[in-house]
Amino acid sequence: MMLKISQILEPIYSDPNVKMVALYKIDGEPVFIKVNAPKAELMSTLYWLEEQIKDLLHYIFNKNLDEASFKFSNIRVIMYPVSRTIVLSVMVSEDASLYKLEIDIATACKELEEILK
Amino acid sequence: MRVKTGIFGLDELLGSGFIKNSVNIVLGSTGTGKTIFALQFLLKGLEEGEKGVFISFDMDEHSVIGIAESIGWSEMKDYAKEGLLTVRKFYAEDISYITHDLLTFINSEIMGDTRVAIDSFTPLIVSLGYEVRNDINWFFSKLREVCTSVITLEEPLDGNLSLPCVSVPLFLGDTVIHLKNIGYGEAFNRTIRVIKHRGSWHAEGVFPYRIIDGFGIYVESADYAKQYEELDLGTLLNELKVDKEKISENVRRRLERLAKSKISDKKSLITEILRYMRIIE
Repeated sequence: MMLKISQILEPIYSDPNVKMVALYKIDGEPVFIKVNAPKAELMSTLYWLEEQIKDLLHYIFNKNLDEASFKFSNIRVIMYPVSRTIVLSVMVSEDASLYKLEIDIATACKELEEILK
Repeated sequence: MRVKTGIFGLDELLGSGFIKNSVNIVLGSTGTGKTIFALQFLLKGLEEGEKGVFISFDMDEHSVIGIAESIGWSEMKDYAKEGLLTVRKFYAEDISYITHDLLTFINSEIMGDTRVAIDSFTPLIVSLGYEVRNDINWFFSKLREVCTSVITLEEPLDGNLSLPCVSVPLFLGDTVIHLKNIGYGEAFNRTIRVIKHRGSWHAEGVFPYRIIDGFGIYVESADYAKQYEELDLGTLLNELKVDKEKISENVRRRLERLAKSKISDKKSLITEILRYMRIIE
Protein backbone atom coordinates (compact mmCIF):
# COMPACT_ATOMS: atom_id res chain seq x y z
CA MET A 1 0.00 0.00 0.00
CA MET A 2 2.69 2.52 1.05
CA LEU A 3 4.78 1.69 -2.01
CA LYS A 4 1.78 2.26 -4.27
CA ILE A 5 1.02 5.56 -2.55
CA SER A 6 4.64 6.61 -2.90
CA GLN A 7 4.64 5.74 -6.61
CA ILE A 8 1.44 7.68 -7.22
CA LEU A 9 2.76 10.76 -5.42
CA GLU A 10 6.21 10.56 -7.02
CA PRO A 11 5.41 13.02 -9.87
CA ILE A 12 4.41 15.58 -7.24
CA TYR A 13 7.35 15.27 -4.86
CA SER A 14 9.90 14.94 -7.65
CA ASP A 15 9.27 18.63 -8.37
CA PRO A 16 12.07 20.49 -6.52
CA ASN A 17 9.65 23.29 -5.63
CA VAL A 18 7.49 20.85 -3.68
CA LYS A 19 8.79 20.83 -0.12
CA MET A 20 6.49 18.26 1.41
CA VAL A 21 3.73 15.88 0.42
CA ALA A 22 1.56 14.20 3.03
CA LEU A 23 -1.64 12.22 3.36
CA TYR A 24 -3.63 12.87 6.52
CA LYS A 25 -6.41 10.73 7.91
CA ILE A 26 -9.57 12.41 9.13
CA ASP A 27 -8.37 11.97 12.74
CA GLY A 28 -5.29 14.06 11.95
CA GLU A 29 -2.84 11.16 11.79
CA PRO A 30 -0.36 11.32 8.89
CA VAL A 31 -0.37 8.06 6.94
CA PHE A 32 2.26 9.12 4.44
CA ILE A 33 4.83 11.92 4.50
CA LYS A 34 7.63 12.78 2.13
CA VAL A 35 9.75 15.81 2.98
CA ASN A 36 11.91 17.21 0.20
CA ALA A 37 13.65 20.06 1.99
CA PRO A 38 15.90 20.27 5.06
CA LYS A 39 13.44 19.79 7.92
CA ALA A 40 14.63 22.94 9.70
CA GLU A 41 13.42 24.97 6.73
CA LEU A 42 9.87 23.70 7.13
CA MET A 43 9.74 23.18 10.87
CA SER A 44 7.56 26.13 11.78
CA THR A 45 5.06 25.39 9.00
CA LEU A 46 5.04 21.69 9.92
CA TYR A 47 4.34 22.56 13.56
CA TRP A 48 1.56 24.87 12.46
CA LEU A 49 0.08 22.12 10.31
CA GLU A 50 0.33 19.58 13.12
CA GLU A 51 -1.48 21.97 15.48
CA GLN A 52 -4.21 22.84 13.01
CA ILE A 53 -4.70 19.67 11.02
CA LYS A 54 -7.62 18.23 12.99
CA ASP A 55 -9.60 21.47 12.75
CA LEU A 56 -8.68 21.94 9.10
CA LEU A 57 -9.79 18.43 8.20
CA HIS A 58 -13.00 18.90 10.11
CA TYR A 59 -13.66 22.08 8.18
CA ILE A 60 -12.74 20.59 4.77
CA PHE A 61 -14.98 17.57 5.21
CA ASN A 62 -17.91 19.34 6.82
CA LYS A 63 -18.02 22.24 4.37
CA ASN A 64 -17.33 19.95 1.39
CA LEU A 65 -14.42 22.09 0.27
CA ASP A 66 -12.73 21.15 -3.01
CA GLU A 67 -9.46 22.48 -1.70
CA ALA A 68 -7.99 24.72 0.99
CA SER A 69 -4.89 26.85 0.62
CA PHE A 70 -2.73 28.73 3.15
CA LYS A 71 0.00 31.16 2.27
CA PHE A 72 2.95 31.82 4.56
CA SER A 73 5.88 34.10 3.84
CA ASN A 74 7.46 31.90 1.16
CA ILE A 75 5.54 28.66 1.48
CA ARG A 76 2.08 27.69 0.38
CA VAL A 77 0.18 24.76 1.88
CA ILE A 78 -2.52 23.30 -0.33
CA MET A 79 -4.95 20.62 0.85
CA TYR A 80 -7.15 18.45 -1.33
CA PRO A 81 -9.62 15.89 -0.04
CA VAL A 82 -8.87 12.57 -1.76
CA SER A 83 -11.62 10.46 -0.25
CA ARG A 84 -14.13 10.56 2.59
CA THR A 85 -11.33 10.18 5.13
CA ILE A 86 -8.06 11.22 3.49
CA VAL A 87 -6.65 14.63 2.60
CA LEU A 88 -3.60 15.26 0.44
CA SER A 89 -1.46 18.09 1.70
CA VAL A 90 1.26 19.67 -0.43
CA MET A 91 3.74 22.29 0.73
CA VAL A 92 5.29 24.30 -2.10
CA SER A 93 7.68 27.21 -2.48
CA GLU A 94 6.74 30.44 -4.22
CA ASP A 95 8.53 29.35 -7.39
CA ALA A 96 6.30 26.35 -7.99
CA SER A 97 4.15 26.27 -11.10
CA LEU A 98 0.69 25.99 -9.57
CA TYR A 99 -0.84 25.08 -12.92
CA LYS A 100 1.47 22.08 -13.39
CA LEU A 101 0.98 21.13 -9.77
CA GLU A 102 -2.79 21.19 -10.06
CA ILE A 103 -2.66 18.76 -12.98
CA ASP A 104 -0.28 16.42 -11.13
CA ILE A 105 -2.44 16.58 -8.00
CA ALA A 106 -5.66 15.93 -9.89
CA THR A 107 -4.09 12.85 -11.52
CA ALA A 108 -2.71 11.60 -8.19
CA CYS A 109 -6.03 12.15 -6.39
CA LYS A 110 -7.84 10.11 -9.01
CA GLU A 111 -5.36 7.23 -8.67
CA LEU A 112 -5.32 7.45 -4.87
CA GLU A 113 -9.11 7.38 -4.76
CA GLU A 114 -8.97 3.97 -6.44
CA ILE A 115 -6.63 2.36 -3.92
CA LEU A 116 -7.94 4.08 -0.81
CA LYS A 117 -11.54 2.94 -1.23
CA MET B 1 15.47 -14.15 21.16
CA ARG B 2 12.22 -13.35 19.37
CA VAL B 3 8.67 -14.56 19.75
CA LYS B 4 6.43 -14.52 16.68
CA THR B 5 3.41 -12.36 17.33
CA GLY B 6 1.08 -14.45 15.18
CA ILE B 7 -0.31 -11.25 13.65
CA PHE B 8 0.17 -11.35 9.88
CA GLY B 9 2.58 -8.62 8.83
CA LEU B 10 3.40 -7.36 12.33
CA ASP B 11 6.68 -9.21 12.88
CA GLU B 12 8.14 -7.29 9.92
CA LEU B 13 7.36 -4.04 11.73
CA LEU B 14 8.97 -5.24 14.97
CA GLY B 15 12.24 -6.57 13.57
CA SER B 16 11.07 -10.23 13.76
CA GLY B 17 8.53 -10.17 16.57
CA PHE B 18 8.28 -9.54 20.30
CA ILE B 19 11.32 -10.00 22.48
CA LYS B 20 11.08 -13.17 24.55
CA ASN B 21 10.00 -12.58 28.15
CA SER B 22 8.72 -9.10 27.47
CA VAL B 23 5.52 -7.28 28.39
CA ASN B 24 3.76 -6.01 25.29
CA ILE B 25 0.97 -3.48 25.54
CA VAL B 26 -1.78 -3.27 22.93
CA LEU B 27 -3.71 -0.02 23.22
CA GLY B 28 -6.98 0.53 21.41
CA SER B 29 -10.48 1.80 21.84
CA THR B 30 -13.56 -0.35 21.52
CA GLY B 31 -13.84 -2.25 18.24
CA THR B 32 -10.19 -2.14 17.24
CA GLY B 33 -9.56 -5.87 17.69
CA LYS B 34 -7.65 -6.04 20.98
CA THR B 35 -9.23 -9.34 22.02
CA ILE B 36 -8.58 -10.82 18.58
CA PHE B 37 -4.98 -9.63 18.83
CA ALA B 38 -4.60 -11.35 22.21
CA LEU B 39 -6.20 -14.58 20.97
CA GLN B 40 -4.15 -14.59 17.77
CA PHE B 41 -0.97 -14.17 19.83
CA LEU B 42 -1.92 -17.16 21.98
CA LEU B 43 -2.99 -19.24 18.96
CA LYS B 44 0.44 -18.79 17.35
CA GLY B 45 2.06 -20.07 20.54
CA LEU B 46 -0.32 -23.03 20.78
CA GLU B 47 0.45 -23.94 17.17
CA GLU B 48 4.14 -23.94 18.07
CA GLY B 49 3.63 -26.19 21.08
CA GLU B 50 3.64 -23.47 23.73
CA LYS B 51 1.17 -23.07 26.55
CA GLY B 52 -1.41 -20.25 26.46
CA VAL B 53 -3.09 -18.42 29.34
CA PHE B 54 -5.90 -15.95 28.71
CA ILE B 55 -6.98 -13.77 31.63
CA SER B 56 -10.04 -11.58 31.46
CA PHE B 57 -11.96 -9.44 33.91
CA ASP B 58 -15.05 -9.31 31.72
CA MET B 59 -15.40 -12.62 29.90
CA ASP B 60 -15.56 -16.21 31.04
CA GLU B 61 -14.11 -19.18 29.16
CA HIS B 62 -17.33 -19.77 27.25
CA SER B 63 -17.39 -16.19 25.90
CA VAL B 64 -13.69 -16.17 25.01
CA ILE B 65 -13.91 -19.48 23.15
CA GLY B 66 -17.05 -18.14 21.47
CA ILE B 67 -15.12 -15.14 20.13
CA ALA B 68 -12.33 -17.44 18.88
CA GLU B 69 -14.89 -19.64 17.14
CA SER B 70 -16.58 -16.64 15.55
CA ILE B 71 -13.28 -15.80 13.84
CA GLY B 72 -12.89 -19.41 12.74
CA TRP B 73 -10.41 -20.62 15.36
CA SER B 74 -12.45 -23.60 16.53
CA GLU B 75 -9.24 -25.40 17.53
CA MET B 76 -8.98 -23.07 20.53
CA LYS B 77 -11.72 -25.14 22.17
CA ASP B 78 -9.66 -28.30 21.69
CA TYR B 79 -6.56 -26.63 23.08
CA ALA B 80 -8.58 -25.62 26.14
CA LYS B 81 -9.88 -29.20 26.56
CA GLU B 82 -6.36 -30.57 26.34
CA GLY B 83 -5.24 -28.14 29.02
CA LEU B 84 -2.83 -26.32 26.70
CA LEU B 85 -4.97 -23.19 26.85
CA THR B 86 -6.28 -21.87 30.13
CA VAL B 87 -8.94 -19.18 30.12
CA ARG B 88 -9.73 -17.62 33.47
CA LYS B 89 -12.09 -14.86 34.45
CA PHE B 90 -11.09 -12.81 37.46
CA TYR B 91 -13.21 -10.27 39.24
CA ALA B 92 -11.20 -7.07 39.53
CA GLU B 93 -12.76 -6.18 42.87
CA ASP B 94 -11.82 -9.59 44.30
CA ILE B 95 -8.13 -9.16 43.76
CA SER B 96 -6.02 -7.14 46.07
CA TYR B 97 -5.42 -5.65 42.69
CA ILE B 98 -2.31 -6.81 40.93
CA THR B 99 -0.62 -8.54 43.81
CA HIS B 100 -0.58 -12.16 44.74
CA ASP B 101 -3.88 -13.61 43.47
CA LEU B 102 -3.21 -12.89 39.81
CA LEU B 103 0.51 -13.59 39.95
CA THR B 104 0.06 -16.82 41.90
CA PHE B 105 -2.42 -17.98 39.28
CA ILE B 106 -0.08 -17.10 36.40
CA ASN B 107 2.88 -18.83 38.06
CA SER B 108 0.78 -21.95 38.63
CA GLU B 109 -0.07 -22.08 34.91
CA ILE B 110 3.46 -21.71 33.54
CA MET B 111 4.59 -24.80 31.66
CA GLY B 112 7.73 -24.42 29.53
CA ASP B 113 7.37 -21.62 26.99
CA THR B 114 4.15 -19.91 27.93
CA ARG B 115 2.29 -16.97 26.44
CA VAL B 116 0.02 -14.95 28.70
CA ALA B 117 -2.64 -12.53 27.50
CA ILE B 118 -4.47 -10.18 29.87
CA ASP B 119 -7.49 -8.72 28.11
CA SER B 120 -7.97 -6.13 29.31
CA PHE B 121 -5.81 -4.78 32.12
CA THR B 122 -7.94 -1.63 32.40
CA PRO B 123 -10.66 -2.87 34.84
CA LEU B 124 -7.92 -3.80 37.27
CA ILE B 125 -6.30 -0.38 37.41
CA VAL B 126 -8.94 2.05 36.19
CA SER B 127 -9.69 3.45 39.64
CA LEU B 128 -6.05 3.75 40.66
CA GLY B 129 -3.70 6.70 40.46
CA TYR B 130 -0.02 7.30 39.72
CA GLU B 131 0.95 5.82 43.09
CA VAL B 132 0.50 2.32 41.60
CA ARG B 133 3.40 2.81 39.24
CA ASN B 134 5.77 0.81 41.45
CA ASP B 135 3.22 -2.00 41.86
CA ILE B 136 2.62 -2.26 38.13
CA ASN B 137 6.37 -2.16 37.52
CA TRP B 138 6.80 -4.99 40.04
CA PHE B 139 4.00 -7.00 38.40
CA PHE B 140 5.50 -6.53 34.93
CA SER B 141 8.95 -7.57 36.16
CA LYS B 142 7.44 -10.76 37.63
CA LEU B 143 5.66 -11.44 34.33
CA ARG B 144 8.93 -11.03 32.43
CA GLU B 145 10.53 -13.69 34.61
CA VAL B 146 8.08 -16.38 33.51
CA CYS B 147 6.47 -15.60 30.17
CA THR B 148 6.01 -13.41 27.11
CA SER B 149 2.82 -11.47 27.57
CA VAL B 150 0.34 -9.32 25.74
CA ILE B 151 -1.64 -6.89 27.85
CA THR B 152 -4.46 -4.98 26.26
CA LEU B 153 -5.46 -1.51 27.43
CA GLU B 154 -8.67 0.30 26.67
CA GLU B 155 -8.16 3.69 25.05
CA PRO B 156 -10.68 6.18 26.43
CA LEU B 157 -13.21 7.31 23.82
CA ASP B 158 -12.12 10.93 24.29
CA GLY B 159 -8.55 9.87 23.42
CA ASN B 160 -7.14 11.09 26.74
CA LEU B 161 -3.99 9.00 27.18
CA SER B 162 -2.75 10.94 30.18
CA LEU B 163 -4.96 9.08 32.64
CA PRO B 164 -2.76 6.99 34.97
CA CYS B 165 -4.60 3.78 34.05
CA VAL B 166 -3.39 4.32 30.47
CA SER B 167 -0.13 6.19 30.76
CA VAL B 168 1.51 4.11 33.53
CA PRO B 169 1.34 0.75 31.70
CA LEU B 170 2.39 2.50 28.47
CA PHE B 171 5.54 3.80 30.14
CA LEU B 172 6.35 0.52 31.83
CA GLY B 173 5.61 -1.94 29.00
CA ASP B 174 8.43 -3.06 26.70
CA THR B 175 6.44 -2.66 23.51
CA VAL B 176 3.44 -0.46 22.84
CA ILE B 177 1.21 -1.09 19.84
CA HIS B 178 -1.60 1.33 19.10
CA LEU B 179 -4.67 0.10 17.24
CA LYS B 180 -7.06 2.68 15.82
CA ASN B 181 -10.41 2.42 14.12
CA ILE B 182 -11.85 5.65 12.75
CA GLY B 183 -15.08 3.94 11.71
CA TYR B 184 -15.56 5.59 8.31
CA GLY B 185 -14.54 2.61 6.19
CA GLU B 186 -11.89 2.84 3.43
CA ALA B 187 -8.33 1.50 3.38
CA PHE B 188 -7.02 3.42 6.38
CA ASN B 189 -10.08 2.81 8.53
CA ARG B 190 -8.12 0.58 10.89
CA THR B 191 -4.49 1.45 11.48
CA ILE B 192 -1.69 0.06 13.60
CA ARG B 193 1.36 1.92 14.89
CA VAL B 194 4.30 0.68 16.91
CA ILE B 195 4.89 3.41 19.47
CA LYS B 196 7.87 1.75 21.15
CA HIS B 197 9.76 -1.53 21.09
CA ARG B 198 12.48 -1.44 23.73
CA GLY B 199 15.86 -2.77 22.70
CA SER B 200 14.88 -3.22 19.11
CA TRP B 201 14.33 -1.49 15.83
CA HIS B 202 10.70 -0.94 14.89
CA ALA B 203 8.94 0.51 11.89
CA GLU B 204 7.82 4.14 11.95
CA GLY B 205 4.47 5.32 10.71
CA VAL B 206 0.95 3.95 10.57
CA PHE B 207 -0.06 0.86 8.66
CA PRO B 208 -3.53 -0.21 7.58
CA TYR B 209 -4.83 -3.51 8.93
CA ARG B 210 -7.89 -5.65 8.42
CA ILE B 211 -9.60 -8.30 10.46
CA ILE B 212 -10.09 -11.23 8.15
CA ASP B 213 -12.47 -14.06 8.86
CA GLY B 214 -10.49 -17.21 9.62
CA PHE B 215 -7.14 -15.43 9.84
CA GLY B 216 -7.63 -12.54 12.24
CA ILE B 217 -5.56 -9.39 12.07
CA TYR B 218 -3.66 -8.81 8.84
CA VAL B 219 -1.29 -5.82 8.65
CA GLU B 220 -0.40 -4.47 5.22
CA SER B 221 3.34 -4.16 5.68
CA ALA B 222 4.74 -6.22 2.81
CA ASP B 223 6.14 -3.35 0.76
CA TYR B 224 7.52 -1.54 3.82
CA ALA B 225 10.09 -4.25 4.63
CA LYS B 226 11.38 -4.22 1.05
CA GLN B 227 12.63 -0.65 1.45
CA TYR B 228 15.02 -1.61 4.21
CA GLU B 229 17.15 -4.35 2.77
CA GLU B 230 20.66 -4.71 4.17
CA LEU B 231 23.48 -2.81 2.56
CA ASP B 232 26.87 -4.37 1.87
CA LEU B 233 29.35 -2.04 3.58
CA GLY B 234 32.39 -3.43 1.72
CA THR B 235 30.81 -2.69 -1.64
CA LEU B 236 29.80 0.81 -0.57
CA LEU B 237 33.30 1.58 0.75
CA ASN B 238 34.80 0.40 -2.54
CA GLU B 239 32.29 2.50 -4.44
CA LEU B 240 33.28 5.56 -2.41
CA LYS B 241 36.97 4.70 -2.85
CA VAL B 242 37.53 4.78 0.89
CA ASP B 243 40.95 3.99 2.24
CA LYS B 244 39.91 1.30 4.74
CA GLU B 245 43.05 1.89 6.80
CA LYS B 246 41.56 5.23 7.81
CA ILE B 247 38.61 3.55 9.51
CA SER B 248 39.18 2.35 13.05
CA GLU B 249 37.86 -1.00 14.22
CA ASN B 250 35.16 0.65 16.36
CA VAL B 251 33.93 2.89 13.56
CA ARG B 252 33.88 -0.04 11.15
CA ARG B 253 31.83 -2.08 13.64
CA ARG B 254 29.32 0.78 13.97
CA LEU B 255 29.11 1.26 10.21
CA GLU B 256 28.53 -2.50 9.76
CA ARG B 257 25.70 -2.28 12.27
CA LEU B 258 24.21 0.72 10.48
CA ALA B 259 24.48 -1.03 7.11
CA LYS B 260 22.53 -4.01 8.46
CA SER B 261 19.94 -1.90 10.26
CA LYS B 262 16.47 -1.13 9.00
CA ILE B 263 16.97 2.56 8.47
CA SER B 264 15.95 4.26 5.26
CA ASP B 265 18.51 5.90 3.05
CA LYS B 266 21.48 4.12 4.69
CA LYS B 267 23.76 4.76 1.76
CA SER B 268 23.59 8.54 1.97
CA LEU B 269 23.70 8.43 5.77
CA ILE B 270 26.93 6.39 5.77
CA THR B 271 28.38 8.68 3.12
CA GLU B 272 27.55 11.71 5.26
CA ILE B 273 29.11 10.12 8.35
CA LEU B 274 32.31 9.30 6.45
CA ARG B 275 32.42 12.87 5.19
CA TYR B 276 31.82 14.23 8.69
CA MET B 277 34.67 12.08 9.99
CA ARG B 278 36.85 13.39 7.16
CA ILE B 279 37.41 9.87 5.84
CA ILE B 280 36.14 11.00 2.45
CA GLU B 281 35.85 14.46 0.96
